[in-house]
Amino acid sequence: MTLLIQYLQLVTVVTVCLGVGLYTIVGPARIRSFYVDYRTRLCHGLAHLSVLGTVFGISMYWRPIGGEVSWTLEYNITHTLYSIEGYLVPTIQELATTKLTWALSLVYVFGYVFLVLFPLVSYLFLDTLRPFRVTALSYIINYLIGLGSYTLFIAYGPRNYMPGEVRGLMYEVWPEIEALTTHINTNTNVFPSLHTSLAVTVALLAWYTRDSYPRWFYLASALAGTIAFSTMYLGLHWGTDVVTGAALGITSVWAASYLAAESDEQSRITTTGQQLFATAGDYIKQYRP
Amino acid sequence: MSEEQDKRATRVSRRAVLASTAIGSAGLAGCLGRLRTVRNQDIPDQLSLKVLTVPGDDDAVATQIGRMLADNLNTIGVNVDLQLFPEDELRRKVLVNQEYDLFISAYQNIERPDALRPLLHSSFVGEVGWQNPFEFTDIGIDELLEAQQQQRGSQRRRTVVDLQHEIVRKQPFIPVAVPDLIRASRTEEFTNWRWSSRDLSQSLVRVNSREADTDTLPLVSTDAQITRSLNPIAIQSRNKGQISGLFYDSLGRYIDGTVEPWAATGWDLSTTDEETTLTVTLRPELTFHDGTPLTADDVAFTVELLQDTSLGEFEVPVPAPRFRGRSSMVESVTVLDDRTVKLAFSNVNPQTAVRILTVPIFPEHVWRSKARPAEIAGVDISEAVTEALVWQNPEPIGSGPFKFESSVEDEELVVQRNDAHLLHRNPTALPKQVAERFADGIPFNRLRIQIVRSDDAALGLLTSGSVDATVSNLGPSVVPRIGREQSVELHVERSPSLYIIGCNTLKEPLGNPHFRRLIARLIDKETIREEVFGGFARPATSPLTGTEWVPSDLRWAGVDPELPFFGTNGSLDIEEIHSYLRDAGFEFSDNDNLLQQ
Repeated sequence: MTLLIQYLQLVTVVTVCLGVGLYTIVGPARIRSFYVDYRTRLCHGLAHLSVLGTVFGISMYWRPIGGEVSWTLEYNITHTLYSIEGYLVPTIQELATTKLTWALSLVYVFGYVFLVLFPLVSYLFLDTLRPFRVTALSYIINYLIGLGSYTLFIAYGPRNYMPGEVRGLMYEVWPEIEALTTHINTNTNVFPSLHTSLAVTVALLAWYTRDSYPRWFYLASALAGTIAFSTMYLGLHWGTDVVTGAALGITSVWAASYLAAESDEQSRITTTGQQLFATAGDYIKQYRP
Repeated sequence: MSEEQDKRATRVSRRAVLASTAIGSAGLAGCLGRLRTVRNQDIPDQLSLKVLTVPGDDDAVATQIGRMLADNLNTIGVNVDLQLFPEDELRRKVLVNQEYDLFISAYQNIERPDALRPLLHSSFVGEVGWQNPFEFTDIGIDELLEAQQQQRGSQRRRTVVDLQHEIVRKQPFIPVAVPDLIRASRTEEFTNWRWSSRDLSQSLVRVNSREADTDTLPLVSTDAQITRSLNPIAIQSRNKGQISGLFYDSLGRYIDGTVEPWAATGWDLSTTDEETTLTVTLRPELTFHDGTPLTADDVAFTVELLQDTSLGEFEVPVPAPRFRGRSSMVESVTVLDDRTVKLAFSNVNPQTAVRILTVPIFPEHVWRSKARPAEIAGVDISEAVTEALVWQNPEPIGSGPFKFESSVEDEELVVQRNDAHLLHRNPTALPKQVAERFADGIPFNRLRIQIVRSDDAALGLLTSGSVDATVSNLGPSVVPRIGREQSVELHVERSPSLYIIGCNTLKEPLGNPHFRRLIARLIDKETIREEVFGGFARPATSPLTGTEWVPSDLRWAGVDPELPFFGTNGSLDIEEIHSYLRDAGFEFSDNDNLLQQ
């Protein structure tokens, strides 16, 4: 029950944010011109979204299995992470106030989901879909590498390794959210911080599209910085996770822009998707009276 | 060639080779000999130790003790790896596979001297579970453990004192602290919360409702394990006495420290020099939740199952790790009629013998089929594990005061009041202490235990009014927050558990008692009491700390009387530790790393 409410709350808040973002960042002019060829754009975008959705689905399905694999491999790196950075996170937590905790918790949960979804929506309105393809591809790379690392390593966050010294600040002020966060991920998957890697990915992409969406670049960088900081402030991630996460973000954007095709016609994902959709369409027509 | 001849031939040839080398090439052989000697005298590596415990989400106190120990070991030059494992994984590592050097954990129930027997007697080495997980063997301690089981009165008391001195001297495990049980509840709808540490059903019978019909009592727990397995004897299960007491009756129950009749109307005790027998009479008309009558056969079956979960099918018996101390005392069990069963013990005093009456009674018609080898997807996985020890028992059938209703993994467990239970039908037949507390019946039909991961979340649900009480023990860090909430009541009680640092005595240098004594002295028990427990604990000196069995010279006196902390106010006296270790034969490298012996 509580879980369902949490999800509804998340969907509502993020939808509102996306709406406001579309109006203020994408702007009415682009939205109007989108109407002209929205079918083609959505069609082209759909192939990449399906691949991304599949990867996400597989990663959710893999998590419990990956957990078992991790415990069998048993590369327990928590102590190493602590040895690298020591008291960084407890030092950051000395800043803690209830207001700051609330602000950073909201950014960590709602801000993050908005940050990750907004490019997938707003880049559909650009003249070329290349930024959209790069975004989808870099998310896929983030997920695959993140999942590989989660499967390979067991790493608990500072909150679990240094209780007493590091507080679970978010759960103190907002206990209900725990149901959501534990549903999405387990507490042994902190290395690297996927929150940071995806946030950095989005901020980098925003830099590439700054001519089209100048406001988005400022918002995305501010959000990305806040998210990276919040993961440490809230005691969820080590500084090392954040640094590694940022490196993963940069790598994924670099790799994705290398891999992504210049035009829709050259994109293998788009063309294959088109063919598949066409075949499926024919198939449905055939069996419809 | 027979094996014997084979061996002799090898020996001859080896001797021949040795002789020829000695005569033929003395120079070369001497050189190689020196090489071998030198090779074995390399500078040893730095001593490395793995310290295992659970993450903060599972038990923040254990994690913090682990961190302190790891930091201090690091300070004295040991290369430490502190590894966190979730509770079930830690059990697998420590209690089943013994893959550890040191571990920190709360041992659940150590109220009586006989609880030390399965923990430390050498005959339990090699068994899984809390049966001598330290692989500790000591003839003197074995003899004292056996003696205390037979003796009575002041003689036994003296033996238990000697036993504690021996254990404290040799430190097979290091007793750290006896924690208080901390729980919180709201008093708007339900009142009179009084928690019994061992048995949730006993706590619940005392609760009163302000309204006449309340359907559901909502509670919260951080123990997700209760939604995954309800098998009280599963290998990896933690001590789930609290919950299993809802579903299962036992013949007797501990009420205020003594075993009182529960599913039995009473028992006759007879003792001769060698043998003690208990003849137990069951209450009439006991039934399991599925309607099957509970008879003396089920009682006898339960004891046999605990003693050997393969029921004689395996070559070597596979006892249930849980209740092992109790089941190992029973010599024989005989069914006299439907409601009478005779239990015989050899060399066991009556006070200890009655502990067997507190084990849960399992229905034979459900559990008999679980005596087969354990299998995964239809494949036998082991010849030493039975289905009974790994089965999840998803819908437990017992005869206890509550029936299983539903369960969602990691989310909730719902149980229903069992109206056929004596507690509802005829409470006056129960022991006076229970009957008195139980005047108006259990004031709800259903009990819903919601699962959260952290104490913070549990307390959040409590303050927002979604639940009325916490079932699991709360960490001391949330106590100040409980104090700030007007509507929430704090309950602090003594607990029967003990935080320990376990030593794998098969691993060097933990086989060396001098080194184990050093580890005990690296732990500042007073600082732990103050900083980790926030004062809600007593420092432990003897494994029986918290019981009436501890002699005055082993009691906490501001410091540990036997093994005081090596330093002051939490910081170590390195000089003193180095000289202690050098005296014990250890060496340090130039950069002060402690070396392997």
